[in-house]
This record gives sequence, C-alpha cells and structure tokens, in this order.
Amino acid sequence: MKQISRRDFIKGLIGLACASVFVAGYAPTIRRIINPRYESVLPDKEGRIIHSACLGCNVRCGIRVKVLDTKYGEIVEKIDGNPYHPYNRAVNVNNQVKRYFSLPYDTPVRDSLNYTGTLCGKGEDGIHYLYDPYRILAPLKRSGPRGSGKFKVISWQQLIKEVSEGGIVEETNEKIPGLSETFVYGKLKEAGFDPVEVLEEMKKDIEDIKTKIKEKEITDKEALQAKINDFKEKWSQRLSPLKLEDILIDPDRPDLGTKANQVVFYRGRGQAHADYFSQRWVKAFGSVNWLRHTSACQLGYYAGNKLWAGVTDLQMDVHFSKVIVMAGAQMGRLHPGATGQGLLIERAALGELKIYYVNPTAPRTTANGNIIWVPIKPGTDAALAMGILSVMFEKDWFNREFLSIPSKKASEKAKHPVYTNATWLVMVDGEKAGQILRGKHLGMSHENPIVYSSGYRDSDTVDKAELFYTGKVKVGEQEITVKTVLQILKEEAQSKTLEEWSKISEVPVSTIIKIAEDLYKNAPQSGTMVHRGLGMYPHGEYTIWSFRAIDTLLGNIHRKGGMLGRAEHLKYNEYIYDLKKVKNVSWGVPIDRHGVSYEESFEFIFSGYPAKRPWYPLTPEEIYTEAFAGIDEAYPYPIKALILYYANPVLSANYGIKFIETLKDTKKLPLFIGITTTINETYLYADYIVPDTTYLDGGTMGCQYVYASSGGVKILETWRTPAVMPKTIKIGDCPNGHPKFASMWEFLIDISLYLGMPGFGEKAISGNPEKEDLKDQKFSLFCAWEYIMRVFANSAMDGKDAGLIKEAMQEEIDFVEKNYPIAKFKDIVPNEWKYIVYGLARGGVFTDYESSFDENGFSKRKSPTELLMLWNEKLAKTKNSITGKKFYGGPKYFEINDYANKELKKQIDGYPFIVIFPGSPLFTKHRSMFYYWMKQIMPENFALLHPDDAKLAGIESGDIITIETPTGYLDVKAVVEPSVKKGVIAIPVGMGRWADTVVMKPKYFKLKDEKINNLIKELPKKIELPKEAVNPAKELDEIKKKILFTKSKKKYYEHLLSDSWRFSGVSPNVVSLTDSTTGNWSLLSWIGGAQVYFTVAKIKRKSKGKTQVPWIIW
Amino acid sequence: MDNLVKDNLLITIGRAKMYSALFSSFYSIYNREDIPTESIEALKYLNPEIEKEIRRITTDDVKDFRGLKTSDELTGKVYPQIMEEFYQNYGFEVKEFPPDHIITLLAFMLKLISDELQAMQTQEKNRALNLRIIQHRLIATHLLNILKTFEKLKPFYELVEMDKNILFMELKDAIRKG
Repeated sequence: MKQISRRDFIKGLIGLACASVFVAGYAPTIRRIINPRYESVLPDKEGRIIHSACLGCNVRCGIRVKVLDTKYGEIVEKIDGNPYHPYNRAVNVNNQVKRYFSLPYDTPVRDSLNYTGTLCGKGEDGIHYLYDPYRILAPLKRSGPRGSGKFKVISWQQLIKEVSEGGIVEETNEKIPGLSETFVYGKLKEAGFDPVEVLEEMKKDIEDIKTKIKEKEITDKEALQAKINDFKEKWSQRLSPLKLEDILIDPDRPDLGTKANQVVFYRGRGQAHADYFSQRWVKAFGSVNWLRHTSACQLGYYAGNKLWAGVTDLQMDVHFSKVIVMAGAQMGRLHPGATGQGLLIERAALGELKIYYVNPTAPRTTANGNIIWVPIKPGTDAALAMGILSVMFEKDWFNREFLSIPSKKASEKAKHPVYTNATWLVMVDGEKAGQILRGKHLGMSHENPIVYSSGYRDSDTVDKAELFYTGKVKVGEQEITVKTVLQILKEEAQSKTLEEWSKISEVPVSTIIKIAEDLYKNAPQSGTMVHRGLGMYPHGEYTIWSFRAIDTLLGNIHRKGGMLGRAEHLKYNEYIYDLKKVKNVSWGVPIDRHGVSYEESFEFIFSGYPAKRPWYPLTPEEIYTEAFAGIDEAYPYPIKALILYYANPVLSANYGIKFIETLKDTKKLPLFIGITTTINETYLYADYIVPDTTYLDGGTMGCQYVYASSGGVKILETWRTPAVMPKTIKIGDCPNGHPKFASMWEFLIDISLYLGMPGFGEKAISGNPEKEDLKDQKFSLFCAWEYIMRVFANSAMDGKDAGLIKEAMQEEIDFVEKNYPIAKFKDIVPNEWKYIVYGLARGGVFTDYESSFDENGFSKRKSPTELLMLWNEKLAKTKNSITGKKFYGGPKYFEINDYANKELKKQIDGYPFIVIFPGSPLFTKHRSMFYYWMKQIMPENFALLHPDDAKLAGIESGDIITIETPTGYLDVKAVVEPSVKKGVIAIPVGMGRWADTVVMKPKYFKLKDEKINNLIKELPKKIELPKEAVNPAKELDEIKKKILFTKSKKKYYEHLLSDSWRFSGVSPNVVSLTDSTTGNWSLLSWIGGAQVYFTVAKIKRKSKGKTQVPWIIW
Repeated sequence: MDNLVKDNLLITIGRAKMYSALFSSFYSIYNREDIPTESIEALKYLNPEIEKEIRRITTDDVKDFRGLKTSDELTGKVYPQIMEEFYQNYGFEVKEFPPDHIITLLAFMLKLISDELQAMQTQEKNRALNLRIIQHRLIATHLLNILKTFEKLKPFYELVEMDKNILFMELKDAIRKG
C-alpha cells in the first residue's frame, strides 16, 4: 500500500476516471436490495418538551417527554429522565462525572436543556402505554351475561344516567341497580332533611354506644340490644316518612354504617391527585369504602414499620450510607426504583458502599465485590435478624446512649429527635401481661411509662434509664414480673444459639457475625433496607420489625446516611384552595375490616369468637382478599356496587383467581363499574367500562410525594401534567369552555353532578379557611382542569412562601405556554399562574441533598417519628379475631402458619421446593404488558432452578416443567442457573395474562379446585366490542405505527388481533397458597393482611425444551 | 465551503467509490456478468494485486458469502435474523438477497454513504455524523466479521479494515470537536 496517509489515499480515488463507478449509478439496484421501511419522518419543527412524572412503576421519577409535531400530527417521541429530579440525577453528555446529584432547583430551564436525566427502560417505554392498541377510548356496557366478553359502546350521557339511576342489559334483560339507591345524602335531602345535621347526630349516637363497649360499660347482648332499640326508636320517628332501612345497611347493626358504605371504590395503582380526588368523591358519597391495593403491594412492610415506628415507610439513605443489609428487597425494584438504585450500584462499585444482599436469588451485579449475596431460606429472614441481634447483644455492639433515652423530654434534652421504648418496663405475667407498666399501675396519678433507674421511675423524670432489667412489682394485689423492652428483645434474640439461627436461615454463622460487625462499625451510616420479600409472608410484619430492631440498636434513624422517612411535600391540598373538605358524614366498618377492632364492634358482643372472617385493627391500609371475601360472604354486610379503578386483583393477588367467582355473581355484586385503560382479567366481568386516560394524556395528574428515603432531600414533590391531550373521546365542555374527555376524573364529576353530591359543581371548593382573604371565597368544580389547576396553585403558592418557588421569568412562562398542554387552562388560576409555571417548568419542587441535613447530621425534615418501639403494647393487647388469642407484642421469629395457626403445615407437607415470586425490575406486577420494548428484552418469564436441583430432576434450561403446588399445576419454562438458592424456585411475576381487551385462554395452569377451573374454561373466546371503542394507535399514520410496533404485524396494531407476546409467560399467583382456616381464600399475613407471595412445590419435567431460554434472567 | 468541509466531502466521495467498486464487483460475479472496468480500476488503485484475486472468485463463491457461514456456532445460525434486525433498527428492509449476504451489506453501506453525501451537501452535520456512526457499526460489527470468514475475501478484508480505521479517526475527531 502506498506510503501516504490513508485519508489522502482514499481521496486519491476521486482522481480516477471512473465517474460511472459512483454510487448514483447503482442507486436503482441498491433500492431493489435494501429499501427504507418508511419515508423519512423528520419533525416539521422542534417539537415540545414537558417535565412531568413517570408511572412506569410507582417510584415517581421525573421525566422529560419530547413531543414532536410532524406533518402527520403530534406524537410522543422520547421519554428521558428529568435532570432536576433527585432520582434521575443530571447527566451532562459532554462532561460525564459521577451522576449523583440533580440540577440545582433554580437552574434556568434554558440551561437544564443541556442536561438529561437517567431513566430506566420502563419509563422510556411509556410511549406504548399511551398508544396501546388495546386501549379503550369510549364508554362500554356489557351486552351479554357477565364475563361473556360482549360489550357495546354507549354514549357518555347514557353511562352517567344508568350508573346513577340503574339500567337494563337489553340483551339478557337483567336489571342493574344504580348508585342512587345507596346515596343516603340525596335521599335525606330529597325528604327535606339537612343530611349533614342528621347524619352527624346519628353518628354521635352510635359513637356513644361504641364508647360504652370500649369502656366495658356494655358487655352483654341484652344491654347492647336495649341501646340499639332506643336508637332505632329515636331515629324511626325522626326520619319519618323515610324508613331507617332506607338509610342504614342494617338498623339492628347501626355500627356498620349507612347504605352509602355499600358502594366500594377500590383502586389498584393510585398516584398523585387521582387518590385525593377519588377520596373526595367517596367522602362526598358518604362511603367508608375507599380502598387501595396495598395488600398486593407492600402492606407487610408497611404494617411491620407501623408496629415499630408508628409510620409505614422508612428506608436507608442511598447517598451517604456505608453498609446496607438489603433483605427481601429486589434490586432495581424497591424505591428509589431501577433508576434510583443505579446510585447504590454505582457507589458500591466505587467502594463507597457495601451491600449484603439477603435474598434467595442472586443480585445481578457484584459491583466490584461490594454487593455480597447472602442466600437465605425463604421465610426465615427473621431468624437471620435474630442472629444478628444476638451477636450485637453479645458483643455490646449497639448504641447504648441512644437506647437509654426514655422519653421525649429526655430526647429533647439530648438534642436527639427520636427516642425508643427500650427502657420501658413490660409486665410479663398476670392478666395484664404484655402491657407497659405505667404510673397508674403503681398507684401514681399519671400514665407515663415506668422505667428503672435506681428504682422505679416515671420515664419523664430521668434522662437515662436501665436497658436491661428484670424485677418484681406489685400491681394492685398481685406481684408481677417486669422486664425492660430491651431485655425482652435480648432474651428473644438469645432464645436460640447463633448456630441454631444459622441452621434455620441457612446463613453461615461467620456471615451473621460479619454483618453485625460491619453494621456496628459503620453506624449510624449503616442499616437495613427491607421490603416485600420479607413482608409478604404470614409472619411478614414480625420479620420486618426484627430487622428494624437492628436499626434501632444502631441508632441510625433520621440521620445522614442512615434511616430516613419520606421527604416533606408542600400543602398541595389546602394552601389556597381547600380541596379536601367535603360536607358529608360517614361511619362504619370497611368491607375488608381494616383498621377496625372486632372487639369494639356490636357483632362481638352478640357473637364473640370466632369472627366470621378476620379483622385487621392494626393494618395501616387495605386488603384485596378480605374485600372480595367480604363481598362474597356479605360480611360484614352485602354490597351493591364496586367501582374498580386501575386495578387487576384477579391476577395480582395471590390466588386472586378465586375472586372471579364473586365478580361473576350478579347477586353478590349487583353493579360492577370498571375505570380502566384496557379490559383485563378482572374488568372482563364489569357491567360498565369507563375509559381512562394514562399518565401521559391526563391520567393521575397532580403533585405527589415520593416514598422513603426520597433521595434524602428535605422536600421532594413530583408534578404530573399531560404531555398530550387525552386520547379518550371528548364528552363535552366545562361551563368555563374547556373540553372534557372521558376519564376517571370526569366520570366521578359527572356522576356527582347527576346525583347532586356535595363538593362538586357550583361553589364546590372553598378558599383556605385559615386565610382571611380567602376564607369566604368559593370556586366551581365542573371538570378535572378546575380541580387540578388548583392543586398546582396550592403547591406553587406554598412553595413561594417557603422561598422555593420564584416568580417565573418571561422566558419560562413562554416555555411552559408553548410546551405544556395544561397551559391552556391557566385562566382557572390567573393569579397564581406565574408561580405555577416555575414548578411546571421543572417538573416539581425539589431541594438538594447537602442542605437537607443539620450540623449534627440529622435530617432537616420533620422526623417521621418521635418514638421507636421494640415492644408494641397495642399489638400485645390485640387478639386474633378467629382464635381469640393475643398476638405477641415484639420482634420475633415465627414459623410460617395460617391465620388461625393450625392447618398450613398439613397443607405444605410433602412439597420439597419453596417457590418464590420475585418482582423483576423490567416489569411491574401485572400492568406491564404494553412495555413493548421491555418485552423484547425479556419476552417471557420462567422458573429459575438451582443446577443441583435440576440435575436430580433431569431438567435442563429450556425444558417445560410442571410445578405442582397445594392448589394446582403450573407449566413453565425452566432456566437452570446457580443464581438461586438450592431448594428454591423463583418465578418472576408480571406475566401470564389472559385478558387485555383481547382474550387468550390460559393453558399454563390447572387448579385443584374444579369450580375455579370451570370459570377459566368458561372464558369467552374473544372480547366482542366495536372497533371504534378502542385503539389510540389507529389515528397515527402508517409510519409511526411501524416505528412503534416494529416487531408486530398490522393485524396487531390495526385490527386488534391478539399478539401472543402480550400473553406470554406465566403467573405463579394462580397456584399460590390458600388459608383453609379462613375459607380457602388467599393466604394473608397475620397483622397487616398482606397477600402472601410464596408457595411450595413438587416438580417434574413435562417436555424437552425446543425453544431458546429467555434473553435476560432477572 | 471551507477547507475542512471540502476535505471531508472528498473523503466521503472516495469511500463511495471504493464501496461502489466492491459492490459492483460482487454483484456482477453473482449475475455472471463482467465486472465493470471502472470498478477494477478503482480497486487496483487501492491494491494493485487485487484483480488477480477477484478473478478467482466464482458465482458459487459469492452465493456463499454470508454471515450464516461464519464459524461462530452460536451467532452463525441466527445471523440472517441479526442482520434483518440491524436494518430494521435503522428503518430499512431487505429484498432480493438474504439479509446476511455480502451484497446486501455492501448495498446498505452504499445507501448510507450516499445519504451522508446528501447530508453534507445540505450542511446537516449531525445527520452526516450519525450516518458515519452507523457505517462504522456495520463495518466493525458485521462486514469485517463476514469478510474474515472467507479465505478468498482476505484482500477485501484489508481494504475494508483500512476504511474502518479511517472512519474511526474521523469520528473521534468529529466527536472531540463537538
């Protein structure tokens, strides 16, 4: 080759007389061989940029949505992270350094455009949610029997009228009741009463009786019946000509509440102001049944934390921690999600952080050896925690000074925002066993806890008290043994040897000691990060609490690098406009019996133990299974209507498949309204379908808090506004001239206007009563925009007064008005607009990490709790409502069992494997099947087996295996890898769908309960609905469709024929464990009522694998 | 037009000629036609020995020049699918020849270079740069991989490897200069 530069050499070709040998000459030939699949789609202009909030999962990252205006119209082109948001961490493409922090909040938006933020694949894939071909756009009514899959389009007006007044399914001649039957407020008003006045007095009468029960003034049936008779007599007269039966569910059981409680609003995914708004509606309707999906989410974790700290959500600071025991927290799943957890991995890789990954499955990275896998036997995590605690006690590896603080007074003196009840004395025998020893027990005049400090002392009077003490005191006539709370915990931790804890958990003794040592030596920048994997067991709350006991001993709470609660948020519900207040009255027992005590119910006086179904007085949130079992068994009362929003309990709850029996039964569930984007396994049984908007086109708008530890910052609030206007049908105009689109928002508003519910319509919203200039002002609520603009106004003005939000510069006003669809509605909040713009332009309100801690390293947030409890007196007093036996009141290792603690062992005996259902960071539980791009990365799920187990059973990767559990058989593809503990099978959840506006009958499972099997057999072959009701993608031009659905044929995105990728994989939930002591409904945790996501199994090979194993195993 | 821009344009024209020559040579052999003289001239300029080598290649040989025949057990089998997806990702679809065939790969190279020329003429710098990045990816990931599989293609491998190095230096420069 010639000795000249290669560049010049190539250029030399030009000099050759070979003009015809030029690309143009071959153009026709090349066109025959390789052709563009579509013509060029360059945008006509620059397009729009919107900073908003993601809903790829529930973490609430910030997103930057790019919307292009092409000559074919508008399209969401790309979704990135918002560089202002603490989770998404600003990335400057030209100068990549450590991606730890977000842009300073006051960075001009102009400059922010030079940065982007990190974002996970689910977030990027949101585009496919918006343009999901299976998305419903118009209201539907069933046109065949329940579950027949037959629907027809109806007008919005017909929907509102029939849901309110009742309707008839013309095709089957079935009568469907309307909501007005149970709208007590309306009935009273119509009869000439002041509904609020009447209901308030009635409620007070019932409260009086309940107080008498609580204070043991009423203890027998006769006394209670007499009171009820008095109540009935009084109110029968007062309400004439109305009858008491028109108002109360059961006049003989007035504590159950009014008939309005027979309307249940249940939401699955809830975010931002979709929650507050629907709560407003349910409150205005007068029902106590506003319920959430939390049992299928993180209820075990919440309930465990609540026992410990009185609050539900606490996690380690991801920025500054040095050692984290990450137990039952799937990497890339737990808050701060796949994007935020990237920070943990980056820090670990740089040697700044060590993570002990306690999990039956391996982490997918070791981060240079700083993420250490601690494989554990599922369900025994509390044994590991007890092992760690026993080492800490033995070696004196705990924060003695912090634990010795006995009271709030003393903690204030010690300048510590938190104290514990480690020094409090508990009575361990006698009839008061489990109760805290208080002044009154010793004949003193106060109720303060008693501690030991050179004698028995009022905890308020000493700065420090003994941590370990056992003694005798005289309570009344009895001599009682008392122990400090820490003494009880120590004895519990030392109730077995370290070797015994190791044997139970299958974690080596040396590892347990090393974890304890690393935790202690790095305290307070060390602690535990625990989540669903621990909480979703029958004893989940005790396990969570056992780990949190470790944190208590470390004294890491509310400290930089330690355990933090959620960031604060602004007063988005009330600062200017009071969006919470609605004048209606409700009382009674929720259908799932959460948060109420059986012993305080009238039923208890009449029936005693066992209750017909469990009650959950100490759970912080709601329970899917108990709601459906409650509806099914009309316990504690029958319901009339279920409004299900953004949920899929049939598939997402363990053994939720049983709910189909209830959903299909029109007697048990007379009216079923679904508010949804697609017709899933649950909505298949709905009477009416209300089409909903997605988070990119007007769904779940508003301001929202984020979960612990919220990036460690003081204030973090993500704002969500639509990136494009709603894709659902336009249903009319608001009196203010703005358009209304079919959605959850407008459905609830229009129903309320039809029924005349308080809190909606003219003068529905009051100004903040605490502000002189606002208190007498009233504002209308006729459309979603009138609500949501006021949410942003509240937040912006509070932010302004807090010095966070400034008046926006003209260029930022121009930016928002040019880019954000919501700017069209600025006339609703003219006075606040220039401040709202400041937050909108940045996608929320954020403070930075460094300024969020004081000079002592404590968080500047309000402390999530003042008191950490290692003994919970309330729990110790609470009884299992089936057995009537008291629960144990502190952290403890239990063996797995059912609610009544008797049958489960028999059920699981003889099944050698434990099957766990981890989440995958690539998918959510069951609403991810529109993640078109993610589905290409992980097209189906699988059963992960350890090679030793596989070898014994003759199984290889790619084989189809049958997993037999106590409830059924599941056929699933096997992946053999040593990344799972021996004896454990891991099946990631999220797949195995069978209905999603299209039906594909599932063939991958068979249940042992023939009744439920038949329900699956009865699934319709297809869902019949008119084409015009569905598919927002159809409005797109050919090119965009091809770009969006590169792997699919036209039949998928144009003719809505099923594309099998969407129904691939399996859902292990369908064969999970049930509880024979509560009627063979899903197995739940004892205290929280959390769904239990594990089962036991036998395995065998069904067929030799022919197909490739999945691309990514995660 | 400043000198730098002109220089870049000249390189792209040179590269266009080289790939035109390669494409037309294989295409002609495949169709049992004579290789155009201009193509032979261009290739001879780049490597005086190459004419002899080209004459050794038969129509049957060309039929075989596919990714499918690479020795890599795992990827070899799925090479057509890999290439099909490669083109799809850039918005193209393949007809006439299998997607992993050398003629298809060269046709795609020519398509990219001609688009790059067009972008240069309309001063769309970023688009031109992106097109070069795709070319580099195609050469480095697939074209060289297939060329190195066949003994008879060795001299062509060397030519394309030289081009890859030129492209790499150009891209590095362009990215450094922002």
